[in-house]
Amino acid sequence: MIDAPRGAGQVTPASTAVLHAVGALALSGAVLAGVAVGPVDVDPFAAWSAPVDDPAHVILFRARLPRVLLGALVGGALGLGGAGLQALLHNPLACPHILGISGGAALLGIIAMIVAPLPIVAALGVPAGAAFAFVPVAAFVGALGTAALIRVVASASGRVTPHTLLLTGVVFNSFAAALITFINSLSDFYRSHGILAWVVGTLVVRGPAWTWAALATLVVGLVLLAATARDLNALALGEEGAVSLGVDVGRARRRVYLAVAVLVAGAVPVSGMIGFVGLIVPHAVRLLVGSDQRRVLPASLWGGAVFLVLADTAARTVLGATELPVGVVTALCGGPFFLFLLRRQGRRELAV
Amino acid sequence: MVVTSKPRCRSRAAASLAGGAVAGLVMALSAVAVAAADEPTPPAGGVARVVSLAPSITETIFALGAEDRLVAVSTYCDHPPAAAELPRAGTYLQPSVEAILGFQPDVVLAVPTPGNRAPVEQLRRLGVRVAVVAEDTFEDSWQAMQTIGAWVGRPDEAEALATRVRGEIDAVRDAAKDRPGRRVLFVVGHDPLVAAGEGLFVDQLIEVVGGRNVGAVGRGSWPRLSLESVVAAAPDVIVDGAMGTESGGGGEEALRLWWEPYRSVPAVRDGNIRAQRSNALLRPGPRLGVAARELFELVHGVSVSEEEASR
Repeated sequence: MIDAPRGAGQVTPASTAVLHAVGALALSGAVLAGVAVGPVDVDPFAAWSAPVDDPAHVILFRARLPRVLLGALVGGALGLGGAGLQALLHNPLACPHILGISGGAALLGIIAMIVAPLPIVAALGVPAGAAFAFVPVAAFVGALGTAALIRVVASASGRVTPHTLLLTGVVFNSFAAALITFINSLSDFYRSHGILAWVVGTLVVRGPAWTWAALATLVVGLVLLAATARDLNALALGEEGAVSLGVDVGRARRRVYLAVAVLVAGAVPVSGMIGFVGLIVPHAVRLLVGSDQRRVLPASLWGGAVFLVLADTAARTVLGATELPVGVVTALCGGPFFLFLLRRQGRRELAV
Repeated sequence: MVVTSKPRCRSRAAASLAGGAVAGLVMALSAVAVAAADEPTPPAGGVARVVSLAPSITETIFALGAEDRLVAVSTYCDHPPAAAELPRAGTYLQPSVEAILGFQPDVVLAVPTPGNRAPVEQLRRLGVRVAVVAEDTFEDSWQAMQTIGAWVGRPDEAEALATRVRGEIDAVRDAAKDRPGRRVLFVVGHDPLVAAGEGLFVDQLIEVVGGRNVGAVGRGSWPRLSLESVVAAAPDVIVDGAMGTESGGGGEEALRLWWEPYRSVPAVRDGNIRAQRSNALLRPGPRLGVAARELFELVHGVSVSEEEASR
């Protein structure tokens, strides 16, 4: 048995190990539940021993499992990104979706999706497979660009109020949604379904390369944020307090925005604009592990993964053979929660 | 209000992009039918100035030889090619009320779409006659031909057109009699997977060529299907437009790659993934017979005439 952490505020290697073990255990449970449930009844044990071209095997290991694992990766990225933004901005309402960062990534990602199959791209000597690699790159540029925009707008007013940030995000989201709708109205019947699904947020298994890309960005984002966790703790004392503790605030800020952009760039091409995961999960996690960012960040990763796997399991099954976009499920959970937080936030400000 | 400005001509590129086959999507969403009580009655001999707001209506007017009465069409009206040269009155989903008023039509012919209910009601309030026809099923199409024929003064030709197209469809049905029954999935989108469900002319076309529409496991006309439901439904043939030659992309080779992991599906195992070739398959109206022949060939791998000759 590993020693319990000494004192509430202590983070030791042992307590971190416990956190990761519990997280991994919870995720394993969610993944098993996700794989066990689906619109088609499949006996997992029969599927395991069936030949590779048996329908049960194909359903379980080629259709269902990749989808569940992708849900874990995307959920982890969104939970982690939300935790990072909430810590950096001291804003309990911050998350990649609400701040418009997912919207920016989706916008450029969609443009790349439309442009990649055009004959002109092939004519320029880009192989068909490589052209689609533009999508995550474009999503990254969109996410980073939006983050930069938010910084500029937020810092222009001198003091960053939560409302400035939220309004910036809302306005940017409307702008991105308008452009996406415009692109949708130009595209044909076949492609319009994909664009609509992207806007609501739906998990799409596009192939192993995309899933590996989501995993890679998740690792990069985690490393960047883990390296910033102490600085984020110091920032909780306010910017001046952090500076007096020797924290390079500018560097911490750049790291967090870069990490969020990387995370979103991995998630958005395979899931579109799934909302509220990055909002809900860090709150739930803080109730469980306290406010030390060295715990909140990894716990948000695990929590986001568990939440999205379960939400997608609901999305895959409630309507039978017809799928519900997972963004609908997360929004149904997250919308009321957001209002609750907004109300609580308002009360606090009145008190101040 | 006097409208003097000429409606702008929308970009041809955009029109042809969208021209693909928007029809089906919208029919799927067409819960917003305009109340039948408001339907105007056509005068004897029809009217001179007609605005068409749907590709199927435009095709029907051309098939009746009444295109001289057509003063404007929707941006998606691209067949026959002469239709694409006509002035535009807005999109299938969002007709432009101002543009339509500018054409001073005697009647506007429309199908129910999610976006056009408000414009249609506004036009009616402004005193413009708007006739709305359904286009979901074969039977809707025959009825639409009658209505359109009455408005353009070609009732007998409309009767003949419906009879001709019915005959073409019956010929395909007849040719399919000796073909083996196939389980067919008619795909219009990947990521997510969207296929033809129940209750539309596409569903009927599949039945005509001797197929069983496995997309009917989902809900509604164009359900988003889960991949595993499709694997479990085990279609023999997948008619796939998602990477169709029309919208660029890699055609049948790209489709084959996309489906390759799901090789328990007979269509995948036996190499029966077929790219849709034209937008006739998604257009109700005079080309339903053409669509039936095309689908027959996609599903069975031989053309209707080859099948008839082999008897």
